[in-house]
Amino acid sequence: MQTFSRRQFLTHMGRSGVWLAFLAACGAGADAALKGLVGRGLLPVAWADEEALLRTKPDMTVLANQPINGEFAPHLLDDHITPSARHFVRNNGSVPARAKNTDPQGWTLVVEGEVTRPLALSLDALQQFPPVTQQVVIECGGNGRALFEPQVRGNQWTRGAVACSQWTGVRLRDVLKKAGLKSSAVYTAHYGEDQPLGAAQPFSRGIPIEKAMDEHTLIAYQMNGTALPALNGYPVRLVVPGWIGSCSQKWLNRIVVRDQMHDSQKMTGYSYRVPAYPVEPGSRPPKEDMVIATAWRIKSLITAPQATAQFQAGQQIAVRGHAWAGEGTVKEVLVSTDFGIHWEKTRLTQPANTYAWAHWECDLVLDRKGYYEIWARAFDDKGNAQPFRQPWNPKGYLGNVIHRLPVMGTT
Amino acid sequence: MISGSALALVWGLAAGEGNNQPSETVPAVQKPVIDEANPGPDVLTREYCSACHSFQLVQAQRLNRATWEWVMEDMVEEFGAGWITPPEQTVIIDYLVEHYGPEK
Repeated sequence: MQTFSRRQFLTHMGRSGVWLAFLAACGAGADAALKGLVGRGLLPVAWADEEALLRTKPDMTVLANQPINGEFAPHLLDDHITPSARHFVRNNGSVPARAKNTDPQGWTLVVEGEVTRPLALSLDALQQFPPVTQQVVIECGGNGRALFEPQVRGNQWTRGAVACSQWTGVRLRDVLKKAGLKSSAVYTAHYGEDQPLGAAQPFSRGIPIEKAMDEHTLIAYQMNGTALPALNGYPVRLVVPGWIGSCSQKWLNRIVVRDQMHDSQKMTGYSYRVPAYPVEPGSRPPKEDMVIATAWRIKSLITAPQATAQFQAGQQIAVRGHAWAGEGTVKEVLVSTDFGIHWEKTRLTQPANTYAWAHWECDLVLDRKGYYEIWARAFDDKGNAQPFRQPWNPKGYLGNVIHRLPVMGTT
Repeated sequence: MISGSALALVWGLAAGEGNNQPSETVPAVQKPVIDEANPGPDVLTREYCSACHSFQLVQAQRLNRATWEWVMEDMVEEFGAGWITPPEQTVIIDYLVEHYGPEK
């Protein structure tokens, strides 16, 4: 009798496609079939065909493939508008079948809770609201986690879990107004079609009603002019500008308006929370001292040159990148090639719109051969600058330490 | 303008009764079956962690004992890996600290 190891089994089934056909044919029995296989350690079944989705992001540095999490090297993020193929992916569970199959049939967005007229909108109905198109920086709350010392738990994002694509959708506030907010409405709770890991609660986060009613907060159905890619939330996601990426729920299908702060697994404890005060690196403050991480801090990225590039001494180097500031605006970006002793100004191009990233550039020269680091440091309109060392928190959120890019000078 | 007919208004939807609950059934995480009779710490760790997520996620981290203990606590209490017995937890944490502990 032929036997398969677990890995051979999954590979075989993934290639043949028989597996999914089998499940589809099972209909109501599929769940039971799934559970049986789960019990024998043969699952996670939903992962079997996620490998194909990775081909939509060929340059992505994959941190994990179950669930898919990946970022892009800074030099791949040089575009002013990030192409969809280079937008990072932070998944908490498996990609919904609807997204894999690009199938909008049967999708609805339910809006309920503290509203006078609960809604269930089809995609067509959603698109009847006035459309808005804007470029928006979306950044995973854990971007920069790998730079925390001592290391903290979680996906080890370096710098590339950030992007600024063009999003088209409708204002969340228009939809909430249609539903009629009650005076008791204080917070949103977002839900999507993705299946959580293990026995975790469905991934769900929310935002204060004031942020939900901001004119820039969108329910998006297009990314860079076409339908959302499967990995970025097809058919519909939230785009909550300036705030950590988890607020921008992917595969969105339900918004519950609440009369209290949302209290899901991902809103409480240590999830997406930072200490209310500075803590000693490596320490773990009590839960009650943790507060919800919201807006991003001033930050910049060097997108040219590429790390470890070599330049002849005296040669002019085109240095450039982006800068963004959460709820603020970027005032200035300075660069240094001597570990912060001397700083040079850069030419700043203002963002295309509020919440898009700004662009900066300058020309630098390395005096002689040797090891150099190009440092970039951004300043916002409120007097904040990027820190030289990363302030620490136990889950590694909101990392915004300056970008240090190693380059070599040659003779 | 939004036409009345274009908007499907549904009245009286209560939380938990809509069709917009997670569409795929969430399988309870069951204990993986390991082929070997007496699996070593490496097999135990890899198989148990991989029951839910890529082992890559584990391999990328360098955490001290207190943090691996914290991770284990969350997996057992919040993410459905309650079948990891206390003795197995100790074996796995020791293995993690040895192989994925802080770089010296």
